[in-house]
Amino acid sequence: MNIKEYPEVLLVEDREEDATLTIRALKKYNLINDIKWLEDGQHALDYLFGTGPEKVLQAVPKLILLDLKLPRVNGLEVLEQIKSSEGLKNTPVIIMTSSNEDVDIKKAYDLGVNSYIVKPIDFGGFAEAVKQLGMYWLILNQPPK
Amino acid sequence: MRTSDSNSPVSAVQLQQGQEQYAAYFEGNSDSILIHDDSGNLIDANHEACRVLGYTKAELLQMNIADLEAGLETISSQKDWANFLKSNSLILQRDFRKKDGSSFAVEIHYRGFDKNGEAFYECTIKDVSERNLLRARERNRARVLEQLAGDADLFTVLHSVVRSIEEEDPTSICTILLYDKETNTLGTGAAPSMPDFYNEAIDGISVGDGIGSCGTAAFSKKLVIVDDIGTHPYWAPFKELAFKAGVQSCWSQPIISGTGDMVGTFAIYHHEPRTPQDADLQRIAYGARFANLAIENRRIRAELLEYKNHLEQLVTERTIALVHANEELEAFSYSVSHDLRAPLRAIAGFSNIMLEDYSDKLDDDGQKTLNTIVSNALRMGHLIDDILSFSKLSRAEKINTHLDMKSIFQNVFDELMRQEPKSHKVSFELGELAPSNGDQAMITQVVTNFISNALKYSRNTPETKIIVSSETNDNNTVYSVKDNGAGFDEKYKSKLFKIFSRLHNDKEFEGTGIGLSIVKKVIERHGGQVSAEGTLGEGATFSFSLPNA
Repeated sequence: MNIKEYPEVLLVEDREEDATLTIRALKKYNLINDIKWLEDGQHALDYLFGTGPEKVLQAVPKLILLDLKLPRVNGLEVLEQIKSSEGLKNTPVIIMTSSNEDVDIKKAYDLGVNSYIVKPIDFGGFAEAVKQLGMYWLILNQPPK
Repeated sequence: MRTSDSNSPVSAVQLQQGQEQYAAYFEGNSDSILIHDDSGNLIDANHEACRVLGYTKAELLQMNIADLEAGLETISSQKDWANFLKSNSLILQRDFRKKDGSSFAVEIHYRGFDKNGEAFYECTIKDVSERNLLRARERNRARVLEQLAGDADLFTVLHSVVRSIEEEDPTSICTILLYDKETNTLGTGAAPSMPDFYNEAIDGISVGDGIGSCGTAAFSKKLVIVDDIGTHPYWAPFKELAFKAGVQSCWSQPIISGTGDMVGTFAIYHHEPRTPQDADLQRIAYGARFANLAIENRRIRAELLEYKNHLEQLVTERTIALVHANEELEAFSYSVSHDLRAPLRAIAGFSNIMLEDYSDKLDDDGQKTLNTIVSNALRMGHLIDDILSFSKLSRAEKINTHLDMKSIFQNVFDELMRQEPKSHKVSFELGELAPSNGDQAMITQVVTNFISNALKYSRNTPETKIIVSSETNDNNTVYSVKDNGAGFDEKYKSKLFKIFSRLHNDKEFEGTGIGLSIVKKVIERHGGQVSAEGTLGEGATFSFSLPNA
């Protein structure tokens, strides 16, 4: 099996600024060494399922941070495919989004999301949120072997 | 039938009346009076009786009272006489036939008297045909009105109209034709007594001068009398048809609506040539009016129905448009919540990075500038959040439950105090609040707004005092939150609950100007009202009412 050396965290986020802030916060608290950032839903699916031009077979990160509003394939669709895949369904997926619409929250949970976080506007709050989720999912939480 | 009881009223009548007096009463009476003996043979008749019945006195004296009766019943039915003997007074309803053969309804008032030991009977005869006719019309009109009040269609109602006029003259056949303006023709409305072949042949005849009685009546808008179909030129083309149907005279009255429009015709036919009498003319006019009443009523009903359907369709269309608008609004607020927040986060975030990473290269002014950028980005974030919750409120479904108002106020206060600076000393006086009904989440939001305002605007007051009370009136309960904070100038009271309007600037007290407009919206959705009283520098009392369950 040609399983690629997977990153600790996969970040799917179309806005570079938000990606930068997220990566900065994770790194600031020494929570990660390795993070893969992809800008749209289709890329994320290609990467995860090895269906893209890169010819990468399944990649299984420790944690997936997923934005909702993404070009081409949106976050909920990506979530649905992850959670219905035998190889990926146990990987924690955290929605990080600006949307606090009840419908989105409900749909995400229906599809099996592990956490849903509304990104705070203030940087302090945002950094704190990223720190907390990093601490919990990357350090405290015990995933299945 | 003789009565020999000397104490009976019969002899009393005779005793009371002298011969002369009686003669004056007899001849001077405006009613017809007949006197007959024990066997019913007439022995006297006054002038009026002769005039009305059309017989000479001599002729009448050769007749028996039974000869005058048109019906099969005879006066001397056992039951009637039994009653008569009891009271010496009897009123009978009968049909009498005149010499000319015509019949009319009469009411006979009987009185018996004894003359030389023989019993005689005085019959005062009143013509009640008019009264009976009016009663019958009343009855028939009531039946038609009942049909009109219900769902009966026009043809059913017209059928009843025709039947009711035919009832007045059982030898007649009545028809109603309806006018079609587009084709300028007449179509069958109701003709239950006419044979089908006749109705089918007449259906759709043109309106025009000389086209039968009805076609001409509709054309001229005037009553048309054809008393002999066999000889009248109007009927030349239809003569054979009429004879086959067994009719030989036709009088036709146009039916004209209240607005002067031609509606149709009402016609009376007879089996033999006939010239209308006054009663006939009166009847045909009445029939046309009656038919018009029914036609107008059904027309208005049809219009109302059409209007109702139109309105329903309009409501459906508007509802679809509203749903569409609502969907658009939702899509809009969704993108507001997502797309406007992201750049703000970047502004605040990168300004913070600047402050963290380049603080050694920034002087105080530079740092202050960046902090201003951050705080304004945050303020705009709050604005977006508040606008969203304001618009969400309009869309959210209201779920009514029992509300323990006291515990809502207590919980909200406890929660808010956790976020309040420790230095802010607050005394909270919570009275016994009446419970209410409403949406728990929405009312909690209102209470949160009131209490957080009370805390916010009393932040500079050394000893903050907040008093919550309720007052139950006949129809509603008013909940009030009183504080001793900054208060407000009553002059600007009207602006308090308006969206985006503020009475303080951000330096004094931060805010977006949306909170109280949310309160107002929620309370109005609950059928209540909001109000405020205040004195600048002394405090304010904010109240909302909720209707009693």
